Amino acid sequence: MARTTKNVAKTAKAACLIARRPLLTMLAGAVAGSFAARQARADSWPDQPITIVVSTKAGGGFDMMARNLAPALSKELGVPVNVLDKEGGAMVIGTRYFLSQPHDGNTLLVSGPAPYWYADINKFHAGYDLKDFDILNVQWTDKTGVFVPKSGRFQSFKDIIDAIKAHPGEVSCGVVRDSGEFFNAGILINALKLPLSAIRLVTYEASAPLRTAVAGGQLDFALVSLEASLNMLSLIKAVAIFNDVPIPELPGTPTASDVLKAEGITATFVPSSMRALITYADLKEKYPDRYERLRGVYEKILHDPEFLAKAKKQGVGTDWLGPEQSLAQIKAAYAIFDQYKSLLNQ
Amino acid sequence: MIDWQALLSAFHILGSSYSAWLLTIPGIALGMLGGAIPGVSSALILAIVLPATLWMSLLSALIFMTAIYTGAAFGVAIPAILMGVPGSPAAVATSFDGYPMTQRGEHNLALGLALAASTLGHMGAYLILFLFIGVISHAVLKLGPLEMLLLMLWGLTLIAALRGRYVSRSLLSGLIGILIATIGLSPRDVIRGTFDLPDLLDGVPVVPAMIGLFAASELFNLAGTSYLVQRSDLRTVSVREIARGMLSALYHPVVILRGLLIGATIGGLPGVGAAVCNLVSYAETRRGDKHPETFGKGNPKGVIAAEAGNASSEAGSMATLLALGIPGGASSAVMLAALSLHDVTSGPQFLDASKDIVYAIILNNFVQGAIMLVLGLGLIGLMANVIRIPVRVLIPVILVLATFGSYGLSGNMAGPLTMVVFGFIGWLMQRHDYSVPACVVGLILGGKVENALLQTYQISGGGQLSYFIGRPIALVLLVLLLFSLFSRPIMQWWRRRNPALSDAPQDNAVKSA
Repeated sequence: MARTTKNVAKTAKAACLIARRPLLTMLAGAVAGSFAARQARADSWPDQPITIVVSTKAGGGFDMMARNLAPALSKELGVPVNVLDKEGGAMVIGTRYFLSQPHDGNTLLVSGPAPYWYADINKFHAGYDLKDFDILNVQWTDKTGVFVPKSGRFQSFKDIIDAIKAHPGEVSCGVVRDSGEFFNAGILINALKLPLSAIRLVTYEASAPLRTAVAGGQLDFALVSLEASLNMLSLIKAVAIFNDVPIPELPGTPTASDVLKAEGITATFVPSSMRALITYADLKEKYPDRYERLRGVYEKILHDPEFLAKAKKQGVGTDWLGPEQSLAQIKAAYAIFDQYKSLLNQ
Repeated sequence: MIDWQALLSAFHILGSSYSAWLLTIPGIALGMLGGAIPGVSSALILAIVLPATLWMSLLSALIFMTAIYTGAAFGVAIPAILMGVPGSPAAVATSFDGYPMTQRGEHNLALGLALAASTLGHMGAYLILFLFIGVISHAVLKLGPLEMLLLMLWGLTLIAALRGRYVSRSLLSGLIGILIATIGLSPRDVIRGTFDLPDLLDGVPVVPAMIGLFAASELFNLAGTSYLVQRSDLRTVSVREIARGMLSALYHPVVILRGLLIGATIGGLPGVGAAVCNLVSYAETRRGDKHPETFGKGNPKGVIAAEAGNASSEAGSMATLLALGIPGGASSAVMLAALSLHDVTSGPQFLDASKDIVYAIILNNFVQGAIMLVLGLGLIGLMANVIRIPVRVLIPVILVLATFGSYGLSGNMAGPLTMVVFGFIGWLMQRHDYSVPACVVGLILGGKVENALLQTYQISGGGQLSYFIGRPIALVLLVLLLFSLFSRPIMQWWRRRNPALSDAPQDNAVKSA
């Protein structure tokens, strides 16, 4: 350090002594040099902190996924990785903020391409579309759970369905607006061949207040994302899950389709919230090296046993589908949403 | 109620972890200083320190964060009292009487009152939490959308009380506030009044708008004067006066008790929090008082009510956070994130599994109250010096600070722009005698009321009466609300009709109030 300072001082002294034109040349050289240095650093991306934008409030599943991923990405990439929660306007505010940042790979997004973006795009004129993004991976697809209060008036999924059929308009059902569960409630009532007014659909802006309402016995039942609800099993009870098979965390809880099949009802439901890590559509073209590095590192993290164990403990999903399969799944979900698009205007 | 084994173990943990104690003082100081800058909320400070808590133990992290929370709950009162610019919705009611006191030269007294009321509210509510954490958290669950709606309507009735010269103009400005709150996505997902500006999708950012309204209406008023306090002999900072204010808060135990009960229960309601507590506590104190007309003109009880209400809401939201894993507001949502960073599954089982940690946090918070008293005395002694700054210097400084604060809140120019636009609106309103506080109350509560109203409508099957009759708590709340609204006019009417009986019932009425 001291030597550098001495050199600089020497150079400065020399600069004072020499004529003006060579001074300009030297300056130009210095500027060119700094450009070269910047170029060299660009190749060794990343050279500055990376920000993961989350398009929901702190504390939810999207935020949990980002905060769980940040230290692992930081370790692999060698730069700090920060999480920035930008909630509001469904998912529009955070997602638009992400799009407004330089498309250089230094900003990533954790958001919900299905079903939330579907409403953003089709209802809120968000101004973006799936093609503006490169979905690196749908890391965490939650399942829908049917929950009732511990001491509620219904204690099985069959009870609920019987009551809806016997007393249309008497049973209250909580859902998060525009969520997968919101669509699933509509699909369920449709499958029962009843109008949507057959249930009292109560809409919440996030799953935490919805779970609180079930715990407090405010609702007869709720369709709510399953995994984040498992913490609250001492206050709420799962009576069915929307999944192909029962899950080990909830032994004895039937799948919704098994219960419905016994009633002679079949229906195709949509997946619950998809939580994905996302980058810009043009990153692959503009900075192919960065894109590959990012994708490689992310894939590696999701196969690291230590990371998987930690994520499992926090209840965060760790699927690796990759960009192609992720996009295919989202598009498949969009095809079902298209059939029930009218629900969005309920 | 009290798990003695866990309590003993809590003492043991606290006694052996010096790092938790070391973090308490800087936490309170950080919160207080941050809170004193208009626009910097406790949630913002907590979000900034969140990554640092990764390197702390779980207990240290939680204690550090509650210390910031505690400090900020008082810090926001300082600009509200000294400059009439509340830094957060939690301190709106503080400014109603605190600022007129400053203008009269009673700034020392007002700050002392606020500090004592904050400390007592904080410690009292944590005492309630300590005794009844399980009961409180479960009682909060029993409040559905209908009960929330009634509670918030209670807050909204304050608009009628915040009148300036013309009642009709105050009601109108309350309505304007509510209408502004409807901008953006409605709870039914209808886009309203955004003029296709995506920045408005989430509505008008409340805090920058609030700062703009208050700052402009108060500060532009000052532009013609030379100092905040007109009389030069009163322009002093006196620790003795501050201490006198602190002592005189003790003469109003009922006001403090009411505030802390309101804070400890309403504060725990998810999504309601401190913003509503201070308004309801203020409204109730005003209504129960013999001379409601003195409120808004520098009544010390107004400051005490507001501060006791907002300080005790911390304990309320910690109750639901620790006992149920449910965040009551933005600050506790960040704490929930801290829990998950420490690999702790929050939820109902956290209280059972880690009761010692919960007790340790509560015990530490008692001490935080005492530390805040000392630190606060020093800080307000320092901050009160703003009254010595000439107004021509002060106004630009506050505006610059508020601009930075609102930039920090929104992360882009939307915050400062909102502040400027609402500053202009506030100036117009003030000039034409439209009550700015009434507009702010409408702005803060409008969106929340609408959401509760929609959910009440949905859950009751389109407003069926059977739902309302089946909710005893709601009916009690409704009766209380109607009583607090109409008891006084009815009594007055009764007295006018029966002048002979007037003396006896009047005394009773005062006593029961």
